[in-house]
Amino acid sequence: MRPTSLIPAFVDAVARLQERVPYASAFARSNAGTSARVSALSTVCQPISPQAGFTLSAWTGERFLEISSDRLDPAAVAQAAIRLLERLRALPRPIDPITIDPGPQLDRRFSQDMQHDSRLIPAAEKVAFASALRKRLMDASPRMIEATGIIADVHAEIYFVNPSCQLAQELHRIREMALGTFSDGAHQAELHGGFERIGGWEHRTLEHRFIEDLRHDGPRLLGAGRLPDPGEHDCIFSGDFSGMFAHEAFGHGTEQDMFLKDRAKGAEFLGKPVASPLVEMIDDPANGWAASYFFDDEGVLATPTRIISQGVLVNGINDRYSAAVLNRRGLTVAKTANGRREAYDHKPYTRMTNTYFGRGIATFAEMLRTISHGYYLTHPSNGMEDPKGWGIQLEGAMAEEIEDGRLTGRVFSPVVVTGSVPKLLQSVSQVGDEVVEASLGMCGKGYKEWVKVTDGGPVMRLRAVLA
Amino acid sequence: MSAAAPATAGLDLGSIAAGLRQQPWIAQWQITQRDSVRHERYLTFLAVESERESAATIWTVWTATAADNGKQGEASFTIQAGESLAALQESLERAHAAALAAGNPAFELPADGEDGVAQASARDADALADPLISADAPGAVDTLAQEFSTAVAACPWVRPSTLEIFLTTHDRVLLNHRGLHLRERRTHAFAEFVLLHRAAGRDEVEFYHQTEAASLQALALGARVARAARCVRDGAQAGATVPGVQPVVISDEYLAKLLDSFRAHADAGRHASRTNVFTLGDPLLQRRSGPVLTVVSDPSVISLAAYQFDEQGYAPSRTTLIDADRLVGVVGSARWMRLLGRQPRGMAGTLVVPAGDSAAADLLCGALEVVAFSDLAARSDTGAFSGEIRLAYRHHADGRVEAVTGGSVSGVLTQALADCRFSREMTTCAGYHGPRAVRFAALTVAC
Repeated sequence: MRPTSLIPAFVDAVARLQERVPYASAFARSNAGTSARVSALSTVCQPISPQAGFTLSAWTGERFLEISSDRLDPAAVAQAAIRLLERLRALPRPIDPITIDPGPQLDRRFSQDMQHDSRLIPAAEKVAFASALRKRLMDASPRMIEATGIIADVHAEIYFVNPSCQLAQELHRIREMALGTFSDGAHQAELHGGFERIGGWEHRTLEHRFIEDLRHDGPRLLGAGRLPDPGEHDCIFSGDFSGMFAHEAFGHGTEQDMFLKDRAKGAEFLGKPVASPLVEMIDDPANGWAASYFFDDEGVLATPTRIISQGVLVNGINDRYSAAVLNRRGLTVAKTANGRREAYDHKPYTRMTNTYFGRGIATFAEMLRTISHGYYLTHPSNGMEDPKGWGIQLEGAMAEEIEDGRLTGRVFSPVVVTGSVPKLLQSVSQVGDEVVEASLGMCGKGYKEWVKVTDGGPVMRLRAVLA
Repeated sequence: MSAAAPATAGLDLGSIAAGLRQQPWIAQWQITQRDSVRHERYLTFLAVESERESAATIWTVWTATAADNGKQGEASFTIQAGESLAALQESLERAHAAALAAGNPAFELPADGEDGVAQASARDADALADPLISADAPGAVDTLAQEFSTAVAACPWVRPSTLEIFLTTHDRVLLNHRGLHLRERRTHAFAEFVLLHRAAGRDEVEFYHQTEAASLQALALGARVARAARCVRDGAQAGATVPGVQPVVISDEYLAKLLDSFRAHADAGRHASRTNVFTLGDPLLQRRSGPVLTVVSDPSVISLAAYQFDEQGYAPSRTTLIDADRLVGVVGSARWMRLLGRQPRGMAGTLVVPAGDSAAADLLCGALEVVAFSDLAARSDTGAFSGEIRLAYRHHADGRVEAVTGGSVSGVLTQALADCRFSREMTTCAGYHGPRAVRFAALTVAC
């Protein structure tokens, strides 16, 4: 059963709950799609897990009560509403309830475009493409001892109902990835790459830049040691490394559910400079990158949020609960479309979407020219935020040495960046003129609650502590 | 809230099995039914922000065509509670097309009574479950929330920013075409909390901790809160980390994560596809000092990696992976073990490392003891690891202890283990059971 059939039941359940609580809503999601994966000894072509189900939410004025079920049928919705009402009856009514704004009246249906519907592509064609991707990689480098080619199409149907709105959206994207294992007999190295795009089968390609990057950089990692001179250095971050920096630095740091818990130092710095005036930073769920949507999981229509403007922290991002509580506390915050759930049966938190640094005017060559000794950081792998202490950890697979304004060809692996977020951001001295999207990302809240995100940015020159 | 029983209005295990038996193209099949019931509570400064409950039933179906020239077509799919027989039929049609496109080396699923296969009658199916969670999860949530409040109250210098509690009961049933029919219940307790503290004249700091275990007792939430409270108080007055190559002590979940990279080295799939970094019999390291390394996979040792039967129905089996610093064993699914010409003995379970010969306290002298990293894991291809230091203690030779923060610890695991000492004291965390702490003689600290 598709979740669309539940809308009348959701409307009814929300109306019944609204008789008892100041705010109620319903959310349903169902996933579809296929993942084809080919390696030397294994070929897999399987549907992605549907993770289909719904959640009914009731806001008492002080707390949320939620019930989730994987049964997409109206009787299950009615049963969940009854159970919520039973539970609500056992709770005292709040003396001073906080109001949650349900937003404007809306009844909208949205769908992302697919020129070529990937759901209609036969399994054999998907396997053939993943196999061709693998072969393209294996043929490209004699040092590659194994490669895995992956092509996946991911589709989501999402429905949201509250007293003001009934919203539906269909999201479609393609994921193309490859993992290469390289060896020179004495050393081994692994490197992966790929991309995701909104849309359908039309986006598959055997000519993407990531394939050349894997072919070129994988063998260079063989036997690469750790940095010989750990400490503070002049650096250039590649565009995708800048993206990870944006995400970890002031992406998590401006999630306003962290403000409620006194876990974000950024709360004290709204309206104040936190970065070099060259730094612009945006979170935009509507820019067409791979984490885009039309409305968030709380029914708020997607719009961009400028987080840092000319080095000044100007806005945070939020979910309905954090916006309501912060406004009650007298901190006027603009509602943003960042309430997201990992799945239908997870709690919504404030989450990023497509988060990136804006472009500047410098070129990579101009940055390189003025560095006497430093490193060019590429192939970001993972990062970790610290919004309270403003520490940061960014890890990448490769740091290439810069000497006297030139790349020397010596590489070190892996490389980790640590330090103080504002110190790093204030050290940004040049910003590149082209923004790169790093589209494969997933983001955890702390160490769980994984949602699809992208990040990006231009190449940036800054000073950072490397090891 | 009371837990909703998973409902299976449309399909059940029997009707799915019947549907599979009717497909002439299916030579082998396996169904795994997973029922889960989860209760969650979220507190902010001890006030309840949200309470949730969820229930779900899914069936993961694996199918294979008859073997032909050593190859078989394979396909799998997931179907949910509430789906109809028509939906199953549609999934099977797609699976047939996928199986025709996905030829893999042939192997056979195990049969009931076969060597190494779990036997339903020989086991207590609830052995991995904490009855406090499975019988009364809402009551268990209350117990944990109270334990947290009591522990926080005993440490008046902290502010309890957040607590998240998730308690889940998982039931797993495995059924295959050769008569294997197994059932297992397990429980999972998860807690994440943040404590805040401000020292006079300094910025407020936080201490974040996440923990998970199979039972409330193993979660030991109160003890963890007490330790975190001490850490946040020390962290609020921490100085800067001193850079240089120095002895570093790493313990508990971080040590578990580092050693977890040995799973990849002993993974049968990597050996079958010849992407293994080390060959069987190879030394992993050139030992300089300290006792030799032994690592065993034992799924019968209780941890989050323990199981009663693996994904294909094999019983837990103890396998030595590393002996005297050499890789000596591989583990993995029947598919990969058969390809290597080995008898399947179950997938990897709890990683067990024997106790060391040093008291944990003796490891600390002159070392940097890191108690909180932002993140720490070793790469499986090179063994390289790095982690930002959230909180550490410098243990001076004269007995002084100083809290520090910032900077990073880096190394290469196989080099670091060549010169290390393990503690006598043991711990169990995540999928690890072994020494609570390790002292590496020389790691790079940068800041």
